[in-house]
Parts: sequence; structure tokens; C-alpha cells
Amino acid sequence: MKLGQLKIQVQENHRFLMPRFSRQGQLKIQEMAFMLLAVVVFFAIAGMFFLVIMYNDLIGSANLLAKEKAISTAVNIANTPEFSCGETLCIDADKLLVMQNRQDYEDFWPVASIVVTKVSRDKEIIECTEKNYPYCNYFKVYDSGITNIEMVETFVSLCRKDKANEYIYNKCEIGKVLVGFEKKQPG
Amino acid sequence: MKTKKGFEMSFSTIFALIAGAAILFLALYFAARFIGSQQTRIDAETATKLAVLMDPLETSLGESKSNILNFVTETRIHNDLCLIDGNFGNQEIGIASSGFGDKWKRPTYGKKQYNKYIFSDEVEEGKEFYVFVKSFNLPFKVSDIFILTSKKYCFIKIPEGSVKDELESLNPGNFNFTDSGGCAKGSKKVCFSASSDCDITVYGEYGFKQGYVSKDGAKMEYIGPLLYGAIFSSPEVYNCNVKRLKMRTVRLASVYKDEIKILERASCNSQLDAPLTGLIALASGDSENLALLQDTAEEIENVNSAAECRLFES
Repeated sequence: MKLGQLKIQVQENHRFLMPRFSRQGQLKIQEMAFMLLAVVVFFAIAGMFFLVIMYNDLIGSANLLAKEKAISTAVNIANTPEFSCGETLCIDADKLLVMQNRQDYEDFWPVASIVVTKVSRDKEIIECTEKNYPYCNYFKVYDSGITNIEMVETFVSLCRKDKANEYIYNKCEIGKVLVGFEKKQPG
Repeated sequence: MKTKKGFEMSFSTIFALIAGAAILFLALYFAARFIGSQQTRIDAETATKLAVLMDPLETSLGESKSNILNFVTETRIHNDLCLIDGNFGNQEIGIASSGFGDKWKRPTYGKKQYNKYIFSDEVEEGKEFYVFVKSFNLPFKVSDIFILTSKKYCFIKIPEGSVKDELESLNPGNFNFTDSGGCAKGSKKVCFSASSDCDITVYGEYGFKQGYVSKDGAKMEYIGPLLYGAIFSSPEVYNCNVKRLKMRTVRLASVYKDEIKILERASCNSQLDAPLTGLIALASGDSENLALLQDTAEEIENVNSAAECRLFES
């Protein structure tokens, strides 16, 4: 013992002996703890994979249902009193002009957008307004503002009242209804 | 001296048992939760699909259609969320499938429907649901009304005429007609004149074109095809849908008023502006008098059908 170094004495009280673990037992507990941790981590990762698959499947189902709804809306839109000209599969173009961007119908449609176009050789899209009607070919009836949309379409008769030789008649052309639905993306 | 026999287990065995039990418990818990959420998902999908399935039943003009909806398991259709807020009001349809034993799961509701008018009891239960659709005109087509039932109905002494013909042609399979009063057990008895032992009684005028239906102690006034809505739905659902139909009438009349201005450009003049304003005032008012609305609609119809340039076809 060097000079100046204190001698620390640890007194052992033999009445209260600390428990003694065998080294082999400690190793076994450690093994088990690691094994348990591995099992938990494995199940957590497997569960996360499963949840991701389920979530994607859920989004797929939601998109399919939205598409089905859009198709049935497109097919039946000509029967809706707001558009119908009174015949089967016939849309009244005069009503379309009135229905364009109508504020009171904002929440009414179960789809993301409704557009009706005239089928013609003209490639130029001329949006219908009160000023240029009926010399136009594009009616933007409803737009929810959703950007990520997919369209479904169907053909209809597009009729409007016209006058020729003092006789009022229904002038009909071929029209196309385009109905948009929101396509949800995973992640 | 007594011998002390103990049951000795190694630490690893105890540890494995506890860990195994915990893992097994967690696996069962998550499996149960997963099955529950899958069932909720199926119910939500069914509720949405129900709206899609109803679309092809919509009519073009003055038609009626009927169909049967079949479910794989016993199902409850909840039609108890009908609101009259906003411009059109809305309705939500909930689906609940049977759980274990006699327990029913809580209903899962689909999206709010603004353009559908479904008349039914607040809860319809079964595997087979009968749907029929009638066009509701005032005098222009306002909407289709959907009647959804799962119960059997027995019509007693229904007078010859359009109502009987229509019910017979629409019969999706759950209607029975009798003059003697012998109805199948469990079926709802519908009488067309004051009589005891009836679940539903119809009092009508002008060949049942208007009148009222007495059901569950409530009196429901009807005009035209709303008769079927009153017979087959609960008073709450009926009153809510009638209010919603009146809201739609107001919006449609306003559309027609705007269309008149467009048609004038094609020298197609209409005298309907003032009568449509009257219809809007009546339909948006608090009056429950549907007969008055019917009279105004008839006036509009007369003016429209006599015009050279018709605003609408009816």
C-alpha cells in the first residue's frame, strides 16, 4: 500500500448475504429475453405488412365503389329531372346551361365532377356560357375542385328547343356525359 | 416423519408458459378485433353498394319498377338518419349484420344521400328486401321515391282501381290481396276503409289520389304515389322525406324559372313564371297541406300542356 492511499474496508455482514446467481442461469434468462424480443419484433413487422396490405385493399375497394357509383350516375343522369328532356337517355341542353356551376346544388351530386360535351368534328372546346349558347360544345355542370379524378363516360341525346319556320321543335345532337370520381391513392 | 412432496418447475418452463399465454392472448385479441373490423368494413361496403344498386331502378318518366335485394346473411337496414338541413336534406342508410347468437352489431352507415328518397320503417330486417320505385311528379318529375320493405303486407278489401292495379303489378313478392280478411300470420294488415284489427288504414279521396294514412297512431297526409311511402314507412321517415321532396321541388322550380329565360331566346315563351313562383312559396312554406300543393301543380300542368312551347314533359 502506497503512502496516502486510504484503505477501504468493506465489512461483510454474514447475516444478510446477497443472493448468488449462477452464471449459467443468467445466460438462460438473457437468451429467453432476446428470444421474446425477437418474437415481438417479428409479429410487429408481420402485423405492419399485413396492415399495409389491408389498407391498400381497402383503398382498392373504395376506388372500385366510387367507380361503380360514377358509372351508375353517368348512366342515370339523363333520368334526373335536373337534366332530363322528358325522353329516355335524353339531356336537355337548355337545362344544362342553367345547371352550370349552380351553387345550391354543390353537395347534391354523389360524384366529383360532371361534364357534358357535344360530339362533333370540331376539335376546339368552347365552354358554354349564356353569351355563346348554343354555339358551344362543352358544359361544365359541376366541379368539386378535387384534382385527382378519373372519368367514366356514356353517350346520350343532347336536345334543345329551336325554332324553324314558326315551328318550335327539339333539335337533338349526340352528347357525351363525363362523370369524374375521386381516385384515392395509398400512402 | 412426514414426506414433503413438492411440484418443481424449472424457471424456463414458467417463463415459456407465461410468454406463451401472453402471445396466445394477444393473437386471439387481435384476431377478434380483425374479424370485427372486417365485418364493419363489409357493412360499410354494403351500405355504399346499396346506393349503387338503387341507381338502375330510377325511372325516366311516370314509370314504376320493382326488384328484390338478397343478402347472404340476416341483415338489418337502418333508415333512421334523415335530416332536413341544407338545400336538399339527406338520408343515411346503415347496415348491420347479425353477430354471434342473437346479438346485432351496431349499424355502419354509408355516405349521406342527397338525391335519394328511401321510404321504409326505421329498421327493416331479413335476408330478402323488396324495393319498388315510383316517380313523384309535382307536376314535373321531382324525384323517384324508393319503397323498401322486408315484411309481408296483406291488403284487405282494396277497391278496384289504379291503386290496386299498381300494387298488383309492382308486387315484388311480399304483397297479398284478400277480400275476406284472411291474412297470413305475421303480415301487416292494410285496410282501405275504417275497420278494426288493421295495422295501417288508408283514407282517400278521388280514387285515393289524395288523403291520409293512419299508422302507429300517427296521421300521414299523402298525395299521389306518396300513398305508398305512407303505407310502408314509419311516420318519422315519411315526414322527413316529404319535407325533403318539397325542398327539391323548390330547387327544381327555380331551375325551370331560369330555363324560361333561356327558352325566350328561341322565341319559346312560357306563362309559367308566376305559377312556379307560387309553387316555390307553397313548397318552401311551413304548411303541411299537400293537397294545396297538388292543386297548384295541376294548375301548372294545365298551363304547360296548353302551351305551344312546353317547359317540361310530364
